[in-house]
Amino acid sequence: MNILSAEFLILCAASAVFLWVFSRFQRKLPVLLCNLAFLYFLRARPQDLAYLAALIISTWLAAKLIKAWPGKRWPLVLSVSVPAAVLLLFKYAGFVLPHAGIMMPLGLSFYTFRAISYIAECAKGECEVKDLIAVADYIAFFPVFQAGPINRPQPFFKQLETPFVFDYRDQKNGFIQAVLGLFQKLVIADQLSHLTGAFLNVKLSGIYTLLGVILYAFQIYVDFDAYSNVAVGTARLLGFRISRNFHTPYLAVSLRDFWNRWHISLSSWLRDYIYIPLGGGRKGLVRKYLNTLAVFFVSGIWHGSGMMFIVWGLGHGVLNVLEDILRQKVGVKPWMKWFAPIAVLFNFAAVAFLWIFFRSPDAAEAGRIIASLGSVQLPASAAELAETAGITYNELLWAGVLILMVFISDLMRYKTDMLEFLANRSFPVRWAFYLALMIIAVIFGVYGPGYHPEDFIYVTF
Amino acid sequence: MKKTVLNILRIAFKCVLACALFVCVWVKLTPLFRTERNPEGDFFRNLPEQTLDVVALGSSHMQYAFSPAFFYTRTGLYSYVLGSPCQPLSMTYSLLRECLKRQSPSVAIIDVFTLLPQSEVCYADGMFYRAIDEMSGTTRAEAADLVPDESVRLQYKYDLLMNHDNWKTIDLNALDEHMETVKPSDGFNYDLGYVPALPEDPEYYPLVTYEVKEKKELLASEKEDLDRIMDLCRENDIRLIFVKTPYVIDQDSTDKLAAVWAYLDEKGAEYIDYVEKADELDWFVGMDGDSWHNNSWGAKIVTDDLAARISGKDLKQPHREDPVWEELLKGMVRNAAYLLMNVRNVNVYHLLEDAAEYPSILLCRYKGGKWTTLGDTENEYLQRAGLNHDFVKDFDKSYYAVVLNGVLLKESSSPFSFTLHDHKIVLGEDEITIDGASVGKAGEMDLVFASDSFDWVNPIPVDYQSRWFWNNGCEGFRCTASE
Repeated sequence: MNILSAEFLILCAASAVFLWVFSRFQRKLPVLLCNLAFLYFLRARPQDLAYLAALIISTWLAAKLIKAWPGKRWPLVLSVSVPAAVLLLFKYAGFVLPHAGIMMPLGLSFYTFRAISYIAECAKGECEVKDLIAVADYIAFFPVFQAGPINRPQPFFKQLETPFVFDYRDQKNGFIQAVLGLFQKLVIADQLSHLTGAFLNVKLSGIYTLLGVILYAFQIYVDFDAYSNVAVGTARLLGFRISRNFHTPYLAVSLRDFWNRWHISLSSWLRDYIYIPLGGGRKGLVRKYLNTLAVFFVSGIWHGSGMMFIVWGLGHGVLNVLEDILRQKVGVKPWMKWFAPIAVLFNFAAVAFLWIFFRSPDAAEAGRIIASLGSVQLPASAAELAETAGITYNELLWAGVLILMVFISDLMRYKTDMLEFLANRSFPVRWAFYLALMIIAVIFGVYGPGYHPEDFIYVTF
Repeated sequence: MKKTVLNILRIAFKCVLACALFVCVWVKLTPLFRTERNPEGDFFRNLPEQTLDVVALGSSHMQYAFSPAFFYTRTGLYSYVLGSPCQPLSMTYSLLRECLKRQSPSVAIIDVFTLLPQSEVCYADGMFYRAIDEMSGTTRAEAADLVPDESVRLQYKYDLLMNHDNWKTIDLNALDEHMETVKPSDGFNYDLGYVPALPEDPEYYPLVTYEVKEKKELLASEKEDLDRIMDLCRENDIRLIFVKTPYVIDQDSTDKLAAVWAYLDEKGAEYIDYVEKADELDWFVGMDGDSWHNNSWGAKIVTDDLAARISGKDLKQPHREDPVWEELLKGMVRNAAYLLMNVRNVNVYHLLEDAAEYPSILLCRYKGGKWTTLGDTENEYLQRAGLNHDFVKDFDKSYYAVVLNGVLLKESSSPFSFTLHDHKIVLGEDEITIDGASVGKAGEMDLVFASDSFDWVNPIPVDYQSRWFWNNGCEGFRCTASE
């Protein structure tokens, strides 16, 4: 079930009302029922549902065993390695056996990491062992089921055990966040996707490819941020606070800063459950850098099958290591803040360059794009630029407006919670803002004949 | 409790407000950004109410085959073609309903091409869209309901509601102009729905017809479409004539057409098969149309035949003369003269017939001599066109004449000059000049057909060799003389 579908929207609205009414004393059962309704409408294959059920039960049992036998490591190893192996199998089955028709269950990457997260927390003694319903609620929590964020167990269980109290402002902010997510997807991301395709056309090079790479960087950001906003907003509407998944990543001044702002739930997961257990930075510089490379290698594998994801992951790993070496050598100086805009630009360039590998199905395509970047193909005017790319001048202009829109909203979000900011405005100001969004969506939205809303990029991971 | 009620009220109020705002924005904005707004519907609606006598509906076959100008010339009645490319019969029904909102035609002529298998090649996404776009108000949505395929139906309904693609192409420097274009269009279709086509291949290829080989049945949906139209015409006291305009039919479509006629027979409906009648009406492929569409000469044959079957007696209310229609038809009839008699037309028989009927000038230079003999048929044609000379009896006497709209303005047995509508015409012994430019300079005879303002001129030289014109034994205009 696509989160852009009417089914999903109706399910969210119905679930919200259901939870508001029936969660005054306990939320476990109502949340479970909502999750079951979601899985029903998802029309998942029986074997996928069976695996999900098995994972939930095994995770619940594993946590109990870990608690029961604190000295034994095998329940932990088994309960982490088996789901991880299954995930790896599904990820790479298509790569190894392309004609076998093996399809990965929807949301597997995300709910596997949630299950591992719960077991790891229990093993560390930081999370209480929960009953089966609570574990099921956590692993299959429907707003975040398909593409995250990979929320942590502790805060979720805490909220699950707290009786629900309707807070108008909170619920409203959740709703607005979800709607803004839809706006981001239908107005910005899908439009950028169409334009990215036009500029990264095999026949074009030079400035066209450069623009295509920049547009793709914004597309993937807005696309995933849109999904995360819908998921976090929906969860909030249902009375669950989930941490944000993105925090203005393209305003990061370094790659380390970028990974603190990009797909935060995944990068923090990798840090807490891979980097730190491997020793983090506590076992010397060489080990630290190896650990860094290992984390980014896993991140590459997690994102998809194929060498290009590994290249993308390791590319980030290597640049992170180089950046750290540079930081060690130069240190952090007060005057550096004056060069922050330049650092932001450099950082964006590095990230956008690495997205080439992320987007390319194989090395040949990545090579073609990189080679195209090196060639000189300059149009005489913006109109010619648009025409050569096969789009209209207005579309080119709109692409610029969209990027500006993303940039300005990120600047505003950098230090301000925009939802609270908006909620504190007067009624006419708030509604004038909503009206502006409606007008933009109606005119420029990707809906209706001639438009094909694309799947969220991260749902395929 | 009080807080809960307040919250519910607050949520309800804001939901209603948001929905209302959204609907307003949608309703106001999306029409401004719809692509390719078809002004044809507006043009039709701009006609004076309750003045239309005859409406023709159907696919491009009808758009090319029926000319309101030819019809008016023969009957004096007002007609209009509400056609659209590959118009399905369900859309024909809806367009007839649209027509009945402001007009009360007495006769409806409907082409059945889209019931035939050959029409499948023109099926395209646009065929419902183009027809629906000519409609207004709820008729649009109701027409979309008649689209048979569910996914296409939904697509069209969505399109009516959601099409907003025009922002990509509008000129940002001329936004005002754009806003003007999305308003209902002023003005009229100056061809009254007819699509004129000039002859491209003036050769006489007889239209091949087939015997019915296989007995076919109409689909239930097709019967439903026909019934719906018949019921609507019955309810509105409209004489309904189904037609199939002449075109290059194949065996499959012949079989299906027979099924259509059989069903209409069963229902007691009136129909005319112009494919079958092509031979009788001297309708030829090439000369009168291409494989699908009639050219202006073919349209004249079809329209004149229909005009012969429809008269003022068929009207449910007396014909109401209207200055708007008269103005439109005056222009269209003048254009019809061009379509019929322009330089592409070298069929002097048609030209002489049409010159008597449509606004035009005929100049004649005949240099009599002992070799210059014309036949009786040609003599009749020349006289019917307004020339007052017996070319058979007085074959050896020269004759010069100027005829305007079938009325002889001046004639003489010797060359003369004449000024008409500020143009100086010189009918010399060996050539004709208009404003000093030679237009006819060959052989024994020149016939020059022209508009009354000389914006088109069609000179036909008739020399000794072609004294029998071209009729005898010649299969087209590419051969210059008969033996």
